[in-house]
Amino acid sequence: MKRPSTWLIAAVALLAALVYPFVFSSTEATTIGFFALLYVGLAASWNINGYTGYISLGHSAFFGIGAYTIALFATRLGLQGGYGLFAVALLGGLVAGVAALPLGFIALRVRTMHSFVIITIAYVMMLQLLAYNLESITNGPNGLGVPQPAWSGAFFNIPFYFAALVLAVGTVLLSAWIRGSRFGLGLMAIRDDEDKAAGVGVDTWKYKLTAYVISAIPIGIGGAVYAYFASYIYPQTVFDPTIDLGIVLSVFLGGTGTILGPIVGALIIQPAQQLLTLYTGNLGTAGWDLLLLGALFLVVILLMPSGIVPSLVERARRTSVREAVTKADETTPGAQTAVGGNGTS
Amino acid sequence: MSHMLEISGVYAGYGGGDILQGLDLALEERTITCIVGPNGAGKSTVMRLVSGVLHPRLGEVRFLGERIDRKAPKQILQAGIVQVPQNRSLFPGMSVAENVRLGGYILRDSALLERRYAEVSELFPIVRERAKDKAGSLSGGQQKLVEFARSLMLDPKLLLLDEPSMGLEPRILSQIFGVMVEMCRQGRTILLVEQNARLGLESSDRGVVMESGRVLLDGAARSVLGDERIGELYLGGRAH
Repeated sequence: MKRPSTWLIAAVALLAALVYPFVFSSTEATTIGFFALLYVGLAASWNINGYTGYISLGHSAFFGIGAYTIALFATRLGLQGGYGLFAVALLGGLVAGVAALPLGFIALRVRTMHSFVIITIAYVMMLQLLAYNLESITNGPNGLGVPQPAWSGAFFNIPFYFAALVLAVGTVLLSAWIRGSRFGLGLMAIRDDEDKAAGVGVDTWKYKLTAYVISAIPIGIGGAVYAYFASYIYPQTVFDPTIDLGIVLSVFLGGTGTILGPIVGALIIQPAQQLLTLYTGNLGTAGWDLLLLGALFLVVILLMPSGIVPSLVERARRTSVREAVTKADETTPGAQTAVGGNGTS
Repeated sequence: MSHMLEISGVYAGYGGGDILQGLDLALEERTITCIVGPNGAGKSTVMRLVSGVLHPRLGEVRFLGERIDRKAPKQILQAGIVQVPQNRSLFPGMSVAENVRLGGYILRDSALLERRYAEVSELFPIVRERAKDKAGSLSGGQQKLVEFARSLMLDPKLLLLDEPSMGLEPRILSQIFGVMVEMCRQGRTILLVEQNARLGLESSDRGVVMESGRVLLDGAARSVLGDERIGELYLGGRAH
């Protein structure tokens, strides 16, 4: 994120996001916008753990923890709906982060990817079961309500839209900062080869756990914001494997390990899913949208296995290198360099 | 005068008996010492011993007069000994620049890290030219150069080069060994283990022939190369 063009694109995108709900002010449009931005935040957050190459299919555990945190906190303390509840959503992130510490501690004990994936899926199932069965706390299968704000009509969605925007921008900035830091370099090294990473002095265990915990926090906040938006939560709607699929699909579609990838992926997947549900009626509820998204995912995996963003960046870079090499050849024929130039290929 | 590295009376192995059986070896500062010998002689075990991956059962290893044989690999890195392993050790999915920076990962001072990076890319133009390319997209020889560049990020006093010729095309070997000689000229001490004994010895100051975990012959590289018995045993006949 150094070239001015990158900043320009980011500024234009942000501006577009700011004016969107005023241009497309219908409830349908702002709902789509809300989910798209929410998933940008979720995907960017998931990707912080994804930098290590460990694929978690259980981050909806933190989504659910955040959701239950705001619901319990608001109902037990008898809080009123309003802007103040967004501050309580931050608490959802905090609780999710604290919960991630022991969960990560156990899941990251394993060194094979398959075991890690399965343990993380188990987390969602376990927490869903707990939410069903700890009736005295969670109200079991009957779910919990979140106090509603007094906003009405088309305006209702607007505060939620901007809360999701703040979450998305904040998480993307956090993810970008980590990617450019020494910590992020260590995470990427773990992803490439964990043993070699340890060999150059990366404290792999500590780094993996830190990334796991950090990535749980914005997801917890997202879960809380969602619960507030939805106004009522059930165990199966917040500890939900399809949330994980939505997140992971977004990241893989856009490109893992990149800053831009999760943004692009979420902005494609979420609106597509919402629109399909909206316009196909019964088809959407019957799961046809998931089927179509699955097909899209297959196409991407087959044609651009590393995701949209890395594929495009690689293509652009190759062209520019080719041009630079041609130019260099023209100006300095047979230029030879000091120790070990390019003569070894 | 003390030696840069001194291995004395070392017995070490992996639990199934000693591979090194009373090894004595001392390295002079700013020289290249090449260890040759048949498979199983313990050449790579010496590397593991010095880099701290393997601890001796008996005997000691001193670096600049200080015992290092009980230290962890990370402490040995910090002391100034860096190894370039024999198999490809770069992160193939990461850029050349990231790979080189990872060589200085234990440096906490980012200004120092950037200064070293500038020095290293000055010395190895390939680091600058291919900075953003994935390390895995480079040829074997180029990767070896980047590995050398990366090893210099900690400004090591002693470099351990384990079979640098392995898996490389013959025509680029002279360049790789040329770079090694250049690194030595710039003040580094090098311990080289090389299967390609002739090539290794030709670029070195001193030759050490190992057999069954002991030093069989130790002398000027030229005289080891010229030794008739050694020539027949390990060099595939005398030089033509």
